[in-house]
Amino acid sequence: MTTAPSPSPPASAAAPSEARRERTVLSLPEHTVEIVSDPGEGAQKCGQIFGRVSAKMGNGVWTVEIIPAEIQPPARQPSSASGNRVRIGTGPVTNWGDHANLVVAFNEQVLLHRHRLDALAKDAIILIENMWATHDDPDIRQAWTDAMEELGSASYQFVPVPMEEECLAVIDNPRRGKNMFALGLLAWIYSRDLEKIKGLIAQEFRKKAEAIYDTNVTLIAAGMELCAMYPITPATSASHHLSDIFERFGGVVHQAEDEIAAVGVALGASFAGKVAFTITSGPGLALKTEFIGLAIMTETPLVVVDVQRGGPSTGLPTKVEQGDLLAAIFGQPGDAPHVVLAPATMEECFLCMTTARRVAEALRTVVIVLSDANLATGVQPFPRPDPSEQWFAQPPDLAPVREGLRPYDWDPQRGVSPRVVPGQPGGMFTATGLSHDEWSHVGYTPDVHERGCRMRSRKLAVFQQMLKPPVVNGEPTGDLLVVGWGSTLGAIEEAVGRARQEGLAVSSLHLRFLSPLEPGLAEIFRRFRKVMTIEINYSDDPGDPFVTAENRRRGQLAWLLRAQTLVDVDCWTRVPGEPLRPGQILQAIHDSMPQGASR
Amino acid sequence: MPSEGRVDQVLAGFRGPLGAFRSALVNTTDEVRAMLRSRQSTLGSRAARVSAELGPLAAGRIDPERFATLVLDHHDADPAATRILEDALGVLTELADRGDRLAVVEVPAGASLYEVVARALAEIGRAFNAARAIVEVRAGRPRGGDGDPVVGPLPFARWTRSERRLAPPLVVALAGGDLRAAALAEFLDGRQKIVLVVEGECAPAPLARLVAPGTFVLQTADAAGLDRFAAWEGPGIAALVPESAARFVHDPAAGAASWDRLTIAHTPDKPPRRTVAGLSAAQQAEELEILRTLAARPAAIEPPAGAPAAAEAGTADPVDKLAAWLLSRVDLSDLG
Amino acid sequence: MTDLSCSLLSAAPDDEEREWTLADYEAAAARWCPGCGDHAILTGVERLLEAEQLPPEQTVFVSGIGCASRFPHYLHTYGFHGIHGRALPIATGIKLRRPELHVFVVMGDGDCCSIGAGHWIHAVRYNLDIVALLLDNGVYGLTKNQTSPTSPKGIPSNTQPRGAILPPINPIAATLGVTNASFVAQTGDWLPAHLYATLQAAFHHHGLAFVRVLQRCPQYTPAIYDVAMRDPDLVELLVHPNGVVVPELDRLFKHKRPHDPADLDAARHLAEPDGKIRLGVFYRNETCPVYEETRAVAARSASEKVALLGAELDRYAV
Repeated sequence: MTTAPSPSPPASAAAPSEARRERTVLSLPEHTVEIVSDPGEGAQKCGQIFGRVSAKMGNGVWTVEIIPAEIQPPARQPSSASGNRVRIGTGPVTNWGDHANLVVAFNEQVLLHRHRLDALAKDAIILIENMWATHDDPDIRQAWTDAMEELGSASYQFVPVPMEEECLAVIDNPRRGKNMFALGLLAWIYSRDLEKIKGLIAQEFRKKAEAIYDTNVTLIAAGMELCAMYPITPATSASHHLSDIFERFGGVVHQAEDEIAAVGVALGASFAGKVAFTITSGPGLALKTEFIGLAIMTETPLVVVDVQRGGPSTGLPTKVEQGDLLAAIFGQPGDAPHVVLAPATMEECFLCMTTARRVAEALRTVVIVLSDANLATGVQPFPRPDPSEQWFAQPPDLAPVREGLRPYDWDPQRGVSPRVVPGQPGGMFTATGLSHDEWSHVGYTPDVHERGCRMRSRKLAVFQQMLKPPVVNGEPTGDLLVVGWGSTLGAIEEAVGRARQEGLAVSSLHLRFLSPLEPGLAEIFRRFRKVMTIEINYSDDPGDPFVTAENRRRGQLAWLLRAQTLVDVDCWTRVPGEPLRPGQILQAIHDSMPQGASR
Repeated sequence: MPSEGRVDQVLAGFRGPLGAFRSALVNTTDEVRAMLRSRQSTLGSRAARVSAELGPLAAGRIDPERFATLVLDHHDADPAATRILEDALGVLTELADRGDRLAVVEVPAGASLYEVVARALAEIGRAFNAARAIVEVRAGRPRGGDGDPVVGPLPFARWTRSERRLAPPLVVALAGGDLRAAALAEFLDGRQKIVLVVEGECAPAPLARLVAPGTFVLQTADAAGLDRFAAWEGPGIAALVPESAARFVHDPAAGAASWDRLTIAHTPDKPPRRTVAGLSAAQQAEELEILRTLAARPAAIEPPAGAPAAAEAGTADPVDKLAAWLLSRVDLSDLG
Repeated sequence: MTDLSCSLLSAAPDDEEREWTLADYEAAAARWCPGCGDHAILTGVERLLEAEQLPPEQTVFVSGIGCASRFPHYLHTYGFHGIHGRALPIATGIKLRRPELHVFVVMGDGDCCSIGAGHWIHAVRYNLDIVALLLDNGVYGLTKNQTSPTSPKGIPSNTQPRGAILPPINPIAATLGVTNASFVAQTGDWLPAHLYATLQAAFHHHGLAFVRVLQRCPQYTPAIYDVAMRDPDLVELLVHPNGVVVPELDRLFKHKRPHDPADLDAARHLAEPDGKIRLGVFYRNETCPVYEETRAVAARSASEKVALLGAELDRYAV
């Protein structure tokens, strides 16, 4: 299946029937489209449907939402831009790409925003609502003129479209139908299947705010029965759909009174034998810290999903960042060993919850899943998973506890102990956050604390030896190894692919398990002349004022890898509040090639 | 049967308890499956199982054989025990698959209501029998021999206190001519509810003899009051009777005295004249009289004003004595 | 009650035939100070467990942090000794998914009325079928004498050496002010018969039974209820057949006030401070929606879940 956008748009999009006869059809391997409007004009919906139709037609698709921070910011302001970027291709699409090739803009101000962010290709085709040029309000006419002057610095191909006028021919309130008009335009340009679109529009409006593919279905797949949450952006989007369907699966979404209660309720349910999870974002993770420590101390399985956003503090609530890695691993006071895992694609988001739950149960510990706004709000088609009965949690075994079995009967060979849950005759014990012995009795001697710490740490060591070494993307030796984690996988691998085509000896490695770290890293690193992480979190650039090799604050994964492997791991990180673009990464690779690298 | 629509109406009112019982069946089948998996595991099969449980993301990332060493199974190859578990699973699955129909039974014309109800409850009791067999296997002492099949029925008399609180309500469709309810008293315990959907003429107050302080008793023509009946935490019996019969509600939560609990909405204008369901006109009149007596507030007693005095009345309640007397008068010997 | 998470295996006779004695509920010797009211409360709770024949394995005590929160360690039931102020969320999670368990929460005044005050308000509103005990001695004892939100004004402590600066929070009035509050009672550690009768009423209530137990800390607030103990006239018992009636106390207390616990307005009025210490059930309403019942969902077997998930995935199939 090939996408077939017309490279030269019709002279007048307002007269598509004439243009249809004249148009030439070209096959392109890929194209990136943006639809931007004021919030409430429906550009996001338009983009979502366009992405989904493209997926249904067999194209690779990746969509990213363009979201203002407020629900109803003032109209016609650059910062109000709302919409979607949809990158479609003949083959799989793994990231949002570099620049948009075609843009549908509902006004010139939101377009200006994208222009200023360098989101548009230099030769981008821009379909723009032209009613503003002749608007009654002189201020608006002036704004249009000024914007066009600024936009004129690039070599965009403008196609003025009287969207509102065209809509008025069909409906009374054009502001409510413009997005569908835009969808029709896109469908025509990209030869999309109109019947599929009609079906999808019906579905969209029958049920509002329906997700396409996201982590929601996953949560059921993981066989969880309780999601305890408190509303927080961007994690909330996952719980909406879940609230809608979870009960049919025998599950409950409990909206707690605060972030702390949410994790407490999940912990209570887990203690009672029904492994539960809580979903949050950075500020919520901070609030849950004490409870996470309690779960680790009492060895109660628990899954915590952190949909990362920009931080610290309220930071960038709607935007992507990978800034919570070290907080997730080391955030709890005291020694609190637990598992941290980061899915890299939407498919992995779907699958990772099953893994997380099972690992949490087997190790009797906390598993933190680090997702991010890019994975939580984007859309990407992936092979339909084939659910298995074994993905679902088994009911707690309430068999009588064998005489003499202690609630923390640590096996020194494995660090784990059999789990006992309320309801099991003969197993009565009091879980406690105090340092305790095998009987869960409060410890009053130094060796009790030593032993508890050792056993809780040992199971992580044991688990690390169960992990398999990660597989290098590209040649196993070379000049530069790029290491990433989380949602940057697609962009990094695309950039590395381009670099290799240029003849650079670059490979990449993407980690899923971050605590404990996957095995064999030091050995893999040694086969490259230079190792560098690429992350969406803040680090000092080496050339920054006052920054020296000694005081440079590095990317979070880089910190971790340096400490764990004693390899001088470099980093290139950015915090633009949007996903990294492959072109940016390629540039970073060029800039980071070690001295004397082969070409 | 013409009563079908009314049976469905009654079932709809019992969504909660019916769903709860089915949930218990479903939860238990999942537990048995897990036990079977755990008991039959070998190291090799455990690795395969663990691999499936971890899901596709773990493929190539976690070594399932090593991970399987973290999973503690109760390996037990005893084929007899395994067979018991499999039989029990079969029973539970079958009962769960029957859904609401498990709670509905019809009395064939001329048959004994008591026997039909006893059989239907014993059939529900198969679930408890299966659960007991599972518990015994779990405790390491599976039933020996073939004498006591897991799949067999378990009569109500042998149900435990918890089982009597767990069982679903039973909806019984029958002809008015077969309505001899007194013997059903022995099934009114725990949270057991019985709803009789009566087709055709019946005695005017066939449930009167079942009024006891802790038992919800309801005769209704149009299902009014069934919601309160369903919500009652204790045992209860209700009948959907023709317009000609008496209509009353005895709600144990409504007060300490029998006249607070019993409200009569309607009694037939004419006294009973002929024998119905083997009850003579005199017996029928007696049943109506029981109702009137229980519902009558003695002239000297004022409605309670929230004063502590009302509490002491509890032990001397005449209805207790009356109920005991009534039960002693019911001869069950020829009904079993 | 409609319990959808129950298994038939827990209804089998094994669990029923045994008779539990007081000794079955006793665990480690309590390490509270001699004279601490917690001892009396522990005794009352053990009596209740024995009287109600609660299987120890079906019973869970959840606590936060503080002297009172050591409670679960001294009982041979399941227990969760959590973190400061957060006992109620843990109990909520347990009861929500395992409604067949008997869940008790034991909190101190710092736990409930200070660091965990948000959970307190909301747990009362959720109204799960649990018993929540506030062991209120008006001081932070474990951390060695700091002013608590219920410390009477003027009582000195290490953090407010010239006396508690603010008037104390009124836990009974506060609880009565929460929507969906269903059972609010007050008793005292020096009246074991009243304490026991109140615990019994609380246990039999269907919904969250909030019981504030007034008690002394022998170390830091030994005198707060001295006046009341010496002069029974300062105490007023709220009596009603739907509340608590303790005939043994009839001779001791002259002041008895008939109060129908169904009357919320009267309860709120009685909760206001007027020099009297009122013990008994202020409010009781069995008709308030109970959270684990409102949120009960039918269980699905693994195969049903696979089928549902398959159908869900089909909606998004490409």
